[in-house]
Amino acid sequence: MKGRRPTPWIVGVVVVFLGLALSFQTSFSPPVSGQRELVLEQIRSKKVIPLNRDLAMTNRSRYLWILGDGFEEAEPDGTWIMALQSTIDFSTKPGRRPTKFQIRMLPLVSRLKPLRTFEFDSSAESRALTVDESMPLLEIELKLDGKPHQQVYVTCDELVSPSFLQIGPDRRPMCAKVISVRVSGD
Amino acid sequence: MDSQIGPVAAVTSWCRRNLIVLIGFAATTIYSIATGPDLNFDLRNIRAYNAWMIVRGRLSDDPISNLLTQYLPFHDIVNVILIGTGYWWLPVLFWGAIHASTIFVANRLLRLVAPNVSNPMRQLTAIASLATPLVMMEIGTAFGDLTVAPVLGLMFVACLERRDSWNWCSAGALLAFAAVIKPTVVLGVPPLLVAVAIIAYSGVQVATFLSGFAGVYFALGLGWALYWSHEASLRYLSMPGLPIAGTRFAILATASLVMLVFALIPPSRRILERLDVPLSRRRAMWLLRLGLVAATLYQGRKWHSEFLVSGAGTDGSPGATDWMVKNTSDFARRLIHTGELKNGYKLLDLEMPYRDFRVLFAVAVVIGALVACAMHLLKDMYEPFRSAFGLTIGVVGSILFMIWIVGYARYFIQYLPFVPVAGLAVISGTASISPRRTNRHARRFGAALVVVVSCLAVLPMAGGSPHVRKFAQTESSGDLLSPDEAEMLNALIAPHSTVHIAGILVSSAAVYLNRSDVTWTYAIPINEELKQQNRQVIYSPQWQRGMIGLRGSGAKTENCTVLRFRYVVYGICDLKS
Repeated sequence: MKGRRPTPWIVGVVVVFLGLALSFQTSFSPPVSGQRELVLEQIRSKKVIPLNRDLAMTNRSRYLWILGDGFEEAEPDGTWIMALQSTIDFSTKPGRRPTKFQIRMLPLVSRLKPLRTFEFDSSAESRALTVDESMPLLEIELKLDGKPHQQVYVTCDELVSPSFLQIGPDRRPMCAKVISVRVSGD
Repeated sequence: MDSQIGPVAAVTSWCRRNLIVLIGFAATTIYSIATGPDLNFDLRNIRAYNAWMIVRGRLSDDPISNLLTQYLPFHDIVNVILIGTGYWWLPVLFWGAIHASTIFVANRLLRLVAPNVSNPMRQLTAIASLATPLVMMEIGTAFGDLTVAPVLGLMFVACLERRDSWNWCSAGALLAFAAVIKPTVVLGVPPLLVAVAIIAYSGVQVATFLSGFAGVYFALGLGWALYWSHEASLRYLSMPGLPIAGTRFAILATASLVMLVFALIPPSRRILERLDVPLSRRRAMWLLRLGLVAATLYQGRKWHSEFLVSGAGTDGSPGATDWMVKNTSDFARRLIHTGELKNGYKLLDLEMPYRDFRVLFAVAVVIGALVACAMHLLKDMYEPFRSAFGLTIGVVGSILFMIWIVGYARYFIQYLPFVPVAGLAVISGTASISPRRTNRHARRFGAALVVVVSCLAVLPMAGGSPHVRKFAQTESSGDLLSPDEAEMLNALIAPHSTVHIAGILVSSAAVYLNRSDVTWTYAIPINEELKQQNRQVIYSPQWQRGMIGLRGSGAKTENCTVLRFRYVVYGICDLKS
């Protein structure tokens, strides 16, 4: 019976298995000359958005690449702003003139934080506003200067978590959830 | 019998006898793959990175590794080797198979503690051991809690076989091995020692168990310390419950190794066996057991109050005390619910409202065991019941002890598969004191009841949820990075650069790219370093705090790019002085 104990066999199989795995490790090589520029161009092309269309900022959207610093990974119904200042960075196709930027978002407000102040800055306009619990969905319009490459900055007054506000178990410090953006022009 | 037939016939015969558990093993392993990849928060955040630094021999590059040296990361090292092959399903399959092997161990245990129950019922109970959400959510993941379940099960097997010193010593060694894989096992050692003392016939057996545990635990600790002494500062290094440095460690380690040698070498063992005669008296054993119970209660109280202080969150961050059981309603939630942990990244699976009855079942089992123990003592038939009672105290006692000291459900997952085993052992043992006919029916009914109650939380007809997702996963339905995404990320990291990591969930880039020319570090660069070429930072765009320290050091960021991949977001900038 002793000679047929399975433990040494099992240990042996695991060791051989791990040895094989160790000898089949994948690794990347340093990028070749010009590869970085190609990728940067690829990223720029991902930031080109169509005009006059509502673009959902959900995890299935192909336009998420316009969300820069300050935005969390996208979720099925939108993308949380998790920094005091966040950036939206986009371009339009050559020859098009973006003139108006619209953003729809859900501010994180509750009985414990009934008011929330935002500042929005675009190439042609700055706006500040305070929202309260009566405005569950915030829609803002900003003028743009018509240049093909644009950056819009959103500044939040404070980051708090739903857990702190006693409206959910989520512990992440957040500000508002961006639902969609729309850029109009001609 | 088996020794008289050929190996093929022996294997065939074994497979025929164990067909149900084999099917259960295969189904569990397939289930681990079917529930998708393992991209748990801890793994993505730091554990894979830490183990990757060890595997690549680059621990000295990065002081962050010093922050997570409270344990020996053997388990993470294995995981990183498997991740390194580039197939997401390989680590899942590996851990899934290890977790599924708990079924075999449970079946072996049942043969020892419930020999009167029919073979098919034993096998069904063994499969039922894993069929509860708290256990299922870790199948195929690299958390390690469930990985130690088969090891702890084998420890009970070694104790219950009660063969010789080697058995007791290897049982202790298995416990040490489990503690090395998952440090939280250390917190369950006191009740496990009580269980061992109940199962053992003599104090020497308990001492041999302890020497096996201490010898292996310290031997591994010493080996780890020697490795570290070459790689990093010993100042930060510790094992759970003990710093791996200083006089205290040296004395304890030496004493444990001497004990281990003393317990295993035949001449010294004979001396111990002579000591065994006075120690094996019933009264002495009861004294030892009561002493261990008192020590367990003392240690539990100490850990509980220490954890209340050390587990508290600072600076508004979540604290581990959120999980602690502070009143009866907290305890009631632990009985029927995984608990609203309110402490994690997004909504972790553990915060989902799974109803899990395994802890409630465990409480019922321990009450049943205590009543049965009293009945056996009254009828002077305690001896045959001792194995079942010892196992129950070991399994359920550890669960309740962990609830008391930390309250976190994940820390006692490794004991949950053995609750049905203990339940069937108690029923089988209790039935044996009743008349033969009642006994047979009671055993059959009891076994069926144990199987049904064990699976209740995953039976849809009982309102259970059979769809249990992997625990604490960051969203993904495949590998973290697609080949195209990995190529993009790779292209942005300059050849021979030093990449500073700032933020959560981004260190996984080092593991996935596995570039030999790049140095990764969490250290904040000093001004002189910034003047050198090719310094970059990889950061979490959503987590700006990570960049504050870097900017505070005088570093300027240029050419920043945010990569919004399917399941992960990276920010990359060049660093200048």
